[in-house]
Amino acid sequence: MQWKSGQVLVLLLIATAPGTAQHEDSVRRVFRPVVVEDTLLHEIMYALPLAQLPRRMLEQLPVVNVADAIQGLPGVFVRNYGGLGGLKTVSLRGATATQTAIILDGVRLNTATNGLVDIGQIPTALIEQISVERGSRGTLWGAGAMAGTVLLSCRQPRRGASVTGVLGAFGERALTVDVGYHHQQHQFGVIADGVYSQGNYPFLFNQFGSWQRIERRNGDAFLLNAALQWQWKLADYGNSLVVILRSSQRGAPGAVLQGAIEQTAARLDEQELFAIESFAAGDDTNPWRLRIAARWFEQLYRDSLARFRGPQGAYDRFIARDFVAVVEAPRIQLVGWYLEPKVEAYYNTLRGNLYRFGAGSFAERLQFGAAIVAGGTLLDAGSSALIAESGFRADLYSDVADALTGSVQMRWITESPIGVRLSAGTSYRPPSFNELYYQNFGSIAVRPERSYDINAGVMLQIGHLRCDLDAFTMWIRDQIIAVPRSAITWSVQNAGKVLSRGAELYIQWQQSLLSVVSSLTYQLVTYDDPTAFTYGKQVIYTPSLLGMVRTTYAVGRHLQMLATANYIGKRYSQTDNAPSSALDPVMTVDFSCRLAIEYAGLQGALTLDLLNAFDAHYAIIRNFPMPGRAWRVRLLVGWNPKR
Amino acid sequence: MRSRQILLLLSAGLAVFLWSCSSNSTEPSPPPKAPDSIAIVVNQGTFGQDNASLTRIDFRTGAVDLDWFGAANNGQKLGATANDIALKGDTAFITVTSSKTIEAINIRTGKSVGRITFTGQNEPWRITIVSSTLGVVTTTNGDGIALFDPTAIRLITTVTTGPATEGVAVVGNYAFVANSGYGDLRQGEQHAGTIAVVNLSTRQVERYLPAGPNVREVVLSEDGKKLYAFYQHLYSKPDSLQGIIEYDVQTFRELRRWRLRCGGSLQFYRGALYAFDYDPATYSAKNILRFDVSQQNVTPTAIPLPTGVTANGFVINPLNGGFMLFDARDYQSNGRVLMLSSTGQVLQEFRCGVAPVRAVIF
Repeated sequence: MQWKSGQVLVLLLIATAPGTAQHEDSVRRVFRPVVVEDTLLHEIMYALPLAQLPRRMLEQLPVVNVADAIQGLPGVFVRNYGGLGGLKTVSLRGATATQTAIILDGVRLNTATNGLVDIGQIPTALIEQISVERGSRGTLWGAGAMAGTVLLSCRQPRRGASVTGVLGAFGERALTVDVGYHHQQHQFGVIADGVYSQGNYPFLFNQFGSWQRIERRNGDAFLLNAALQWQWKLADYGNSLVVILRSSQRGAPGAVLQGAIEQTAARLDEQELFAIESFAAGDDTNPWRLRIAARWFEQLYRDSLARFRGPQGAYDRFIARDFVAVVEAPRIQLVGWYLEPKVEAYYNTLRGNLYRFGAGSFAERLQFGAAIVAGGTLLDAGSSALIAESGFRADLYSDVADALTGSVQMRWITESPIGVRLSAGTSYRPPSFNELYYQNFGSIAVRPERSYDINAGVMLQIGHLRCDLDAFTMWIRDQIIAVPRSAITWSVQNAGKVLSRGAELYIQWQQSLLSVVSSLTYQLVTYDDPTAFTYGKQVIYTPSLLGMVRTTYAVGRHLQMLATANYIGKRYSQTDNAPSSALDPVMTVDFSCRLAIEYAGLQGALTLDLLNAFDAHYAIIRNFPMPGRAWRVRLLVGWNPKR
Repeated sequence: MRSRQILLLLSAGLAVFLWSCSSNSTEPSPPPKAPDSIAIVVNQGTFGQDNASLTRIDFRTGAVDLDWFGAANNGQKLGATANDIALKGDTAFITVTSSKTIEAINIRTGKSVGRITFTGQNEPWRITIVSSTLGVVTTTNGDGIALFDPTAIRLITTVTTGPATEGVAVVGNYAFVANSGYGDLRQGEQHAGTIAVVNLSTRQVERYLPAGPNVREVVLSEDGKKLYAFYQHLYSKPDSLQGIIEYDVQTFRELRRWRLRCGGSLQFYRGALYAFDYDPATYSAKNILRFDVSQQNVTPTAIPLPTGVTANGFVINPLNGGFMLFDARDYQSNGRVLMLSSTGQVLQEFRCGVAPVRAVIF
């Protein structure tokens, strides 16, 4: 373990904190909750910029998965390979998907296998709220929370039942069943969501000098998700069990090339069982929490045409098992400061037939993490306050280098409608099993990635207008990147230094019937090794400019119209940013119209979605075309008994 | 008398006519044509990016056409992963592996003059022109070779030879085909790691020459009497050596074998064999090795490469006996062509497309 200046600074801040600090909740008196329809609005000012999508908003948006839902939020860019079954990962502030932690009910979803999460496989039907926090959170969430964190909450069991059916373009069919039952202190819920798409959307492609309209092949996908929930609450004890079952069968089409389409016979089958048991004991507002999670995941990749793997093609099976235990102690009040300790243990295993020649096909990792966060009010002048929080975390690994992280955050708030925040932190990401062991690709020599970031922001709230402006800089060293060793073979190494800096603007204006939400992100994400010829060049597939405007208009009590425009700026597929490798900026516009009625506990909602209404032809990743214009009809019928 | 004169005149006329139609072997040789000093560089592009290209370099003026094929063909793409080039007169044939095409272009204009399109698993890789009516190309995942007519620019037939064919060389009636087996991936299959000897008349494999794991390249000596093959180590056995084998083409017997960390871009030029000292364990080459195979005991001479270069291939420059070195940099950017002297000194540098790998100089 090595001590870094940032970590030392954090410890010093903790050690020298004044003893007269007050509780953090004093913030709430300034930024009271604002009753709005679009609850992207924060109730309080957070130390890091945060955007939230609550359940109500998720139901209104023309989206079916987390990837579609978060595109357009400040700092968010979803790297999308197209179609329902195509890989979709999140990039925050230009970082990679492995540098963003995805947390479900307090448990990190990023696997040791590859470090990333395909957020296109998480249906919004199972989600109560999505929060995207930008900035390092390594002290809280550990590995991978370098550029930010996507926090997901499972749907809460509700009394009643509902069925939602979906019909859409390109053979899309979906059915969601949601049943909840409350009995005394117990709440039970079952949500099942199945969706199928043929995925044969047309796209334009220049082949041998002429533009042709081609249909996407092998893009079909069948995704089945179910969540079983049981919550049990007594005066000083609470229990929550969530079991998520997932099964998917989908095509894994590759790049569309002149004269050939890659992986037209490649199939990916996945089965997953994920259970999270949460106990809370003690004071209801400040309990002990214990979270235990277990995950079993099996993946089978087949491609009968992958002749480079043999006459029968590829047939690769991977089985991952993960066990997690997290203990969060109650907040400790200590000489005016509060302390929040937390310990975690992760055990990950992976069995597969493409690992470590001659050394078996099994990999395992044991990780222990301990974190402590200290906070309080540094200065309280009555009409304004300066609130500080510092964190420190140590992670010990069985197979890779250990890591220390630290952070410090400050907020200055006043009774005037303005607040200021400043934070700095360090974070890390250990190499994944793939990066360490995958045949002809991994290297046991790779070290953990490191990041250092600073965020400064101001929040303004005047009447119906809310505005957040944040500036950031993030420096990543030892970035693990796949380096081509020839035109067709790649392997990993700690070759990357990346500097990301930029600004994010979020504006919301709302009155009773009309609301407008807009975000604008400008980021310069560049290679930062002065000795490399790519120094100062824009990181591939990272647009400098991202924007979103969403307008919602209510017509009477029952009808709501929604329009969303998403802009993705120019990005490059070559590291030298050769003009020929530029992918043009693109703007897509979605419309949605929802008619909802409710009578005597019965509810019904009919939603019509028109996606990519102006039929933009584009690709986020070169040669992986995105769907053009598409439609979707959603019908919900439900029963929601009142107490 | 008059008839005799007419007969003589006719005879003389016929003689003149026949003389004029006879082989030009009796003509005085034309003055040697100065080389055009032009190179066409094949840029592989990045896998799955559809950005293979051709770069044209005019050494006399220093002019570089980065995407010469696109510019000459109204922006048309060459395709995905180009790997080789061969000349027949004013026509160049470029294998575009992932796009499953052989693109034929006029080397004066860059314009496409035809295309051979493959189907199924056949992906053209290495190519050689045998005659005006026969060309041979390996089909890699097609596990064989394809015979094509370079004049008519059409496919003739395919011949199955073994798993994952890469290099090919033709002498006389025989094609020597490297069945690499893609190293570890298909090493257990029959004929992996062998050189198939194909009779081009019968279009049958006559025999298999044992080589070594992952045999990838084959070249012939200038007199066509010796065949040299490069085999690469297996990733599963990182400590294993690789090397070069020498065969007698007449008897098909192995004559010599040099086991060392070398190989890649195997070439024969003026009695010597040239190859990178490419080390697959570090994915890098620091030298071009020269083997004087006329000697009984061969000790390769190292010609150092410039530092900071990702050597993706080289060709010997017939204009001056130096080298044309292809620097792929990070394989995701436009590369460089470095003109080296015969001792490895950098003489000139030119831009080119992504991952340059082969070239023809004329």
